[in-house]
Amino acid sequence: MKMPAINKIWLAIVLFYTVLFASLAFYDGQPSRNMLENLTRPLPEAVEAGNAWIAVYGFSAPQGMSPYAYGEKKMHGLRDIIEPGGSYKEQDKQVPDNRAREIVFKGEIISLNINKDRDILRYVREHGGEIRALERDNAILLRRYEELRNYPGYADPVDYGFSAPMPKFSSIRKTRILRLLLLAETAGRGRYAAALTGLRDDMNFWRFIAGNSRLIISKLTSISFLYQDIRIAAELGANLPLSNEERKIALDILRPFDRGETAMREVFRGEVRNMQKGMEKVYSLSRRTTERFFFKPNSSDNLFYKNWEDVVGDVELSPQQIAAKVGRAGNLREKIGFGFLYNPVGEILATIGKVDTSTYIVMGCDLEGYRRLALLKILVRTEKISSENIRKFVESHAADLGNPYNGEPMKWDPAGKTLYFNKLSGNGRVEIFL
Amino acid sequence: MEDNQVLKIAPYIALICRPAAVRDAALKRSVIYAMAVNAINGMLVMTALWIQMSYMFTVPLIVTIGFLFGPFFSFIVSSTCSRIQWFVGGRMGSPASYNDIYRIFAWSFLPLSVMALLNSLVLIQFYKPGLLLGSVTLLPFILIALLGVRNYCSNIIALHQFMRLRGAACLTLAFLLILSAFMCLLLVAFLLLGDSINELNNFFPLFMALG
Repeated sequence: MKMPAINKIWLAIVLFYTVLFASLAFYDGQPSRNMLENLTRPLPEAVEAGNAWIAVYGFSAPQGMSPYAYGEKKMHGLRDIIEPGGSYKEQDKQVPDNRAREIVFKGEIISLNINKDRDILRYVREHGGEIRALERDNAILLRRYEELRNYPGYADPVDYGFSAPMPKFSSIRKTRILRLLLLAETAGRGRYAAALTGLRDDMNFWRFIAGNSRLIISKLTSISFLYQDIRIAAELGANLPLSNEERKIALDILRPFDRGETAMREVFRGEVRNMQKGMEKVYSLSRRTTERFFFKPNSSDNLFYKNWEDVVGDVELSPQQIAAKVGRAGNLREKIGFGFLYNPVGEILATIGKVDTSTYIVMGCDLEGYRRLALLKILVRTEKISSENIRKFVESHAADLGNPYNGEPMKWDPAGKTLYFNKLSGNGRVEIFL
Repeated sequence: MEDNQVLKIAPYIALICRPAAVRDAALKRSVIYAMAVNAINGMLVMTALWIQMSYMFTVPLIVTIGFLFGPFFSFIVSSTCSRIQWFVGGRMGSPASYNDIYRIFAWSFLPLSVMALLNSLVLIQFYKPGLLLGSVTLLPFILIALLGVRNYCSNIIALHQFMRLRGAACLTLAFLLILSAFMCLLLVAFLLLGDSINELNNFFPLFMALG
């Protein structure tokens, strides 16, 4: 019996759409080599003896318990929730957390905002009583802060995905400012070497953290702390009559950054891996079968990685390359293309999750520029350069202490008595008060 | 030459406002022809909808979605609507065949789908059009939509050979059944999408009313 033409057409249509939908539902791309390499390369374990991150996480441990033991206990509790497939939302409720007994910083502490023209040496002279009281009330936190330097490693919990806890840096920040004020007080009493050595220890610790950070929160925190260290070092180096030995320590504090301390590539690589690990948990494909029709893990991972690929490539970007990249960062949102046909959820998530990295990639270079400004400040003061000659002096140091982005000399603002260079974004400047 | 062109275009213009022109175009041509028209309707409507999101999706993707999925949804909608119409009409004593109803459906909404695309292309030229501008832009579309529905209803009643009241009752019943079918499709979609089942709470009153 011959089939009518109309039925043949219907059959062809049904077959065509069956094949089309099946192909779209089951097709997934191949994982890209670079993405796989980043996702599978071995990273140090977070819960491992000697990891300073654990102590930072448990910094506010109740009295009688070490920060490391407290941080480790909290991490084990978290792991017990995550490993059986618990929701990351449950972590806040269930992680054993003796919050009520946690030690918090007592008292008010000043800000060490680098843009504020505040003379720290004069401040500690005038507020000695308050600083003593703060030292007395926060003796335990001060001791814990000193002990952080004893840890040989620092590893962020990158592979915990969205469940990665964030240490409360607030207590550490306040304790650290108190410690810097105590160092300034020590310098004010004439013990320059002791103050500078203490500052160098602090700077070295945060350089170490900055060099080993793999998540942006650690990196940015360490960079902001390094700004403050540099600011204090510049103030001590410029205002105190230092001996040659003491000057050497000051210059050692302000030595150039190295070992990835200002580099952002590792942080971005860590961030993208952290995000991918998070997505693996949120979109656990073993639990939801229908989702695999709309969310393709390989293609989505490739997309997430591609968003960051420019800044996580094989080579760390030079300040000049960063300058060029930030200039091009305007057109962030690329439109969704054919990938949407087989991976609609992944495409949309990758598009809305796109981060403007231009704000972050300049931070390391800004810090390096600030270090140069600090050195210039010390040189201007110690060589007693008059206000009229500062511009010429700064120009003579363009090669070694110039603008990190274009190599031009730093700028001098006689009215505001500041040395500065303009930020790449064009909004504001990085400056140091003379 | 110009006269020839006018003659060629005139029947298509008549499709907008003259039910008889729609009936002529539909019934004089084969079902395969109607299927092709349905596919075009789907492509145009699908592209018109997606083009509103051209800030997010590339134009080649929008066109591809229109070409691939427009006919698919159009086939489903036109077949479902026509079959329900045929079923209800048959129960009420209509002699109309399914193929005729299917052909009327396809041709009635051809001007509407063309207008949908044109209107969509005009709308994306404006960034957040206000109420007045939006209304003015949508006016031709609304007019053609009303005419399209009028043509369809009129032709269906004529095909069924019903009087007005009986024809209106048949169309209303068919519409309610189509709505129920649409709700059932939504139910299946929500069931497939797991957690979205919770969203069904919002549809229960409607289901009960339809029941």
